[in-house]
Amino acid sequence: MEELITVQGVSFRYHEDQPHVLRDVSLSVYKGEWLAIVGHNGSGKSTLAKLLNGLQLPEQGDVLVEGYNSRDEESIWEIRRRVGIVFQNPDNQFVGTSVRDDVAFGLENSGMARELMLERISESVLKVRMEDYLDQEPHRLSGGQKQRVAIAGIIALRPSIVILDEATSMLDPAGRKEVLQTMRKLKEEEGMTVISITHDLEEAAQADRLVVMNAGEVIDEGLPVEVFKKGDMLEQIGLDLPFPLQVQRALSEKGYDFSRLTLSQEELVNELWTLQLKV
Amino acid sequence: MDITIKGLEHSYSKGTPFERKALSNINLSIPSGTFQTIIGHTGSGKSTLIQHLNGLLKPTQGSIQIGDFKIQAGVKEKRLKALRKHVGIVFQYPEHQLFEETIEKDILFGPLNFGVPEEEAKKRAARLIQQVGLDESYLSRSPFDLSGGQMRRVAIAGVLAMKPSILILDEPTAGLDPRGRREIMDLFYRLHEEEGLTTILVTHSMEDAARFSDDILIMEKGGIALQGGPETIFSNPEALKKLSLDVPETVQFIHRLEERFTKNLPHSVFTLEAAVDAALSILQKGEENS
Ligand SMILES: Nc1ncnc2c1ncn2[C@@H]1O[C@H](COP(=O)(O)OP(=O)(O)OP(=O)(O)O)[C@@H](O)[C@H]1O
Ligand SMILES: Nc1ncnc2c1ncn2[C@@H]1O[C@H](COP(=O)(O)OP(=O)(O)OP(=O)(O)O)[C@@H](O)[C@H]1O
Ligand SMILES: [Mg+2]
Ligand SMILES: [Mg+2]
Repeated sequence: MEELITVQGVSFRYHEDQPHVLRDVSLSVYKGEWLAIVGHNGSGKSTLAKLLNGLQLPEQGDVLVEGYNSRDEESIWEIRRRVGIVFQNPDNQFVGTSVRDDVAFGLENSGMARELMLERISESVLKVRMEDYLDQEPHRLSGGQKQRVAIAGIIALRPSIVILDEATSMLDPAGRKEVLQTMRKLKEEEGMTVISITHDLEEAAQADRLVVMNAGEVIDEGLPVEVFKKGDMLEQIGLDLPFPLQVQRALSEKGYDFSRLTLSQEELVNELWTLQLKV
Repeated sequence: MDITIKGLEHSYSKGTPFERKALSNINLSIPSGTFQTIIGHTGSGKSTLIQHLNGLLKPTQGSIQIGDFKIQAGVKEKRLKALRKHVGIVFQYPEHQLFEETIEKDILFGPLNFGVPEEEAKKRAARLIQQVGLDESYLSRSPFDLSGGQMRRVAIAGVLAMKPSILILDEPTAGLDPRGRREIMDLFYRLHEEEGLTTILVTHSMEDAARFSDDILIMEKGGIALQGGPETIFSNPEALKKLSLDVPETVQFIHRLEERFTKNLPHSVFTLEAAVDAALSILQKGEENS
């Protein structure tokens, strides 16, 4: 697998008189994967995201994006072009006075021809179903609508890597599923790489790979089903297990043995079926 | 204080080319002490509705009665400050309510503004910062140098410090980690019970809606689509899906069990324990038969 991002021994703090908020973080991101990052509030996830596109620079260590080191000044634009972040608070991201202008802004900066630009705008706004709001001021949208527009602004740019920093936290259940589905399609069809920072364990369970952060460090990394084996550890650091695993764990404590861990309800019910046949 | 909303309509930028109607003909009564939850798809009008309850937004039609305060279209309510002492709102985006240079000053702002003695207000701040899961060392920090979830916690502490009798929470757990989500919902519920608060919760978490509510209101396109207790509301998955909503995970699980095992199970299952019990009942039946 092609390694797109390499984070090597990175430490970072916001001010010299404050403690480090990232400590010796090393991490790889591979082309075309869906990588979920989980961790308690303040564990350093958003800070790491900002280092991945050169908004912040490491105090120690290096961040390399397709070979470009964020420490080299000439590399910064190459990095930003490749890594698009949908920020946790969309208000911090809006620059235009209408949804249309806002999505156009990033495209104009990339020097795109007008025809193509208009096409991209309507296409990405349609993908997040905000086509009826093109003339609305982004700040005058509902909370969830803002998140949708923020996502449109980034996917219009077609970066090779998209970082979603809790980008769907304010969407209704159907809206969240739909937007994640759209992102998954972009990943499958265009080979986009997705880094999703999330507190939604159900979403994390569906990732290709999971990274766990705690107090500024990466403390675990692997397939979701492997990471979620460590329920006690996750609870200790403020996290939890997805619902199907919580049910499984409670049943194991009552003496029922499962042959495998189930990350979805469908699998869980199948396991229960097998179990019931056995007893 | 009872809340009665009659014929409420709200249009943003009324009378301009940008006019957008966000609420129409809302009639709703929330008796004092109720845990009222509001759910509904993105843009359905939830935040617009709740911002009327402390006069941040003015009705373009209709009226809102809160205790003996009355907010009416076209009439100026002169006692807004007194009303805001009773009605505390945690906004959807916490950044919108943080503005002081330290976290302590931010939490103190409300209480001091409403005449709470400084010493008492400081005591509240020290207690609350811990209750929202941060330690006292945060008090001297800037509220802007925080992570998203930490900001949310500070904003919550600031509203609780005013000891409102009506507590309005606009997606208060968005951005919180799983433990924080659980602890802070438990904190709200404890306060609701112990202090006899009226709590109005806007949420996209069907699990929280099912667990804590006396009554659930579903909004759609600026109006009320459905209203009822958790058992009624979550007994109709098809209707919910049409409204971009869903049933809680626990209820989904029950439906799947029923389908797979062709059994009837109780439907109002809103906690992990109850879901596990349902699974156990099926496994144990299997044992009896064998
Ligand atoms: N601008 C800033 N100045 C100083 N410290 C900051 C700043 N932003 C964040 N921090 C601190 O850095 C640490 C990591 O914050 P970060 O935002 O990366 O956390 P996070 O994992 O994204 O948390 P959350 O889940 O709450 O969004 C926190 O302790 C936070 O208080
Ligand atoms: N300041 C504003 N000016 C104009 N229109 C607005 C403004 N704020 C919200 N709206 C519009 O009013 C409608 C209702 O918005 P509201 O914020 O009440 O929705 P909501 O139910 O809270 O949605 P969400 O779940 O996304 O937070 C939306 O269509 C939105 O675009
Ligand atoms: Mg963050
Ligand atoms: Mg809202």
